[in-house]
Amino acid sequence: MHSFWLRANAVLTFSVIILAFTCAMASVSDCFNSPSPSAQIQITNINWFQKQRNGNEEVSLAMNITADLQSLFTWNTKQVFVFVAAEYKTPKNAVNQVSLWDAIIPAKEQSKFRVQTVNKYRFIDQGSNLRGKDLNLTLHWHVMPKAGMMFADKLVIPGYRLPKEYR
Amino acid sequence: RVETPLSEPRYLYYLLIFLCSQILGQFLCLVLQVPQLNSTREETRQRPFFFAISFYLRAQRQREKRMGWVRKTVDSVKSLQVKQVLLRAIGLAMVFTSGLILWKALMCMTGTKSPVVVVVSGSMEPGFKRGDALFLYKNKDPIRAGDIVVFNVKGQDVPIVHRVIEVHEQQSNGEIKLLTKGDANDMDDRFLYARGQLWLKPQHIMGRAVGLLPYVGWVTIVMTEKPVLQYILVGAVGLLFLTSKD
Repeated sequence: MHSFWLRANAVLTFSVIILAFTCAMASVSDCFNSPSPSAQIQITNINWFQKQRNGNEEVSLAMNITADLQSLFTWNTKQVFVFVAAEYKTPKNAVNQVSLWDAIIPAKEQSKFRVQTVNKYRFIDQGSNLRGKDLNLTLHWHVMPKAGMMFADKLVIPGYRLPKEYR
Repeated sequence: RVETPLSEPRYLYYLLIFLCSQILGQFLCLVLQVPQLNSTREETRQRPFFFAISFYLRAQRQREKRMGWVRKTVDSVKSLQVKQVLLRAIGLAMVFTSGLILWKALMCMTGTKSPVVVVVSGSMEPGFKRGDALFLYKNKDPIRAGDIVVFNVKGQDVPIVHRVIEVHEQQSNGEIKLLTKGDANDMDDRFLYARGQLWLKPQHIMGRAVGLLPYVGWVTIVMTEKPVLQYILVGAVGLLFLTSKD
């Protein structure tokens, strides 16, 4: 164990092991964080609600989204990806999840926010089942770390209903 | 039905073959390192079988004295060399197969054909930058909105890492339709899918990203973009291993 290359090899191997261990510890420290986020979503207006030529219905709605996601951030958090999805059931489909709006929160300071927005992505159904439909608007968050395991969770807010007629 | 490596017995057979090769390698190393017969006068008296061999060895020694010192060292080095090289080669093969064992075991544990992937494009920035390594996991849980999935488009060999933004699951046959989009992209991924394909199905999904290690993937990116480096690296490692003193 006296040649330069063998020493270099030993140093490299050791440093890689130490780095891997540090990343694992960083990820483990995330488990000790018990987050308690809160959110509220209001549908302020249904801008329009039409049936397309191919038979699929489309909705455009304006929302007020208030959320406090400060407790999700740890020292190992790179960003939090938050999105609002409309979840509903139809006679044909047991599960429908359509993402309406999303945002990237890079730091804790910006994680308490209030946003007034129109849906970023088009809300198009597979068919025409949306009239008078009951929806859940779910706020999902996805914590992306600097190194280690990612984790995601959601807050389901039920009790929304689409209008019975087209507008 | 979605296929995972655990359900394919082929991968378990590979694991078994590699484990057996490890055991065989260890056995061969042991055999090669058995010390040579010690032919002293007392032993030849006690074991008449080796008398002939000791006589032959003594005659050879006399021949060697006649041949001179240089010839003798060349002979001893040659006989030593073959054993050394063989031991070294078996050691190298064992390191190689233990790496393969680790890879196949990881494939079986995570349920995907590639448990680790490297992010090549910047379409998921700032979450995943180019050069980050992602750990994938696949189980029978259905894919839901928000999951970061790795999928292959038909005809393309580079897999794509994007987030699922729309899910529709049919009641009658459980068929799932997925739409994905990269975080940093403005448009959804319909322009990436094959012509006429509007939705992704679960069988296109290789796995869900569950963990991240930054910067580690740069080694892979550099080696893929300049294949010369691969040969240099493998050659250097092989040379180092074969010529090192221990």
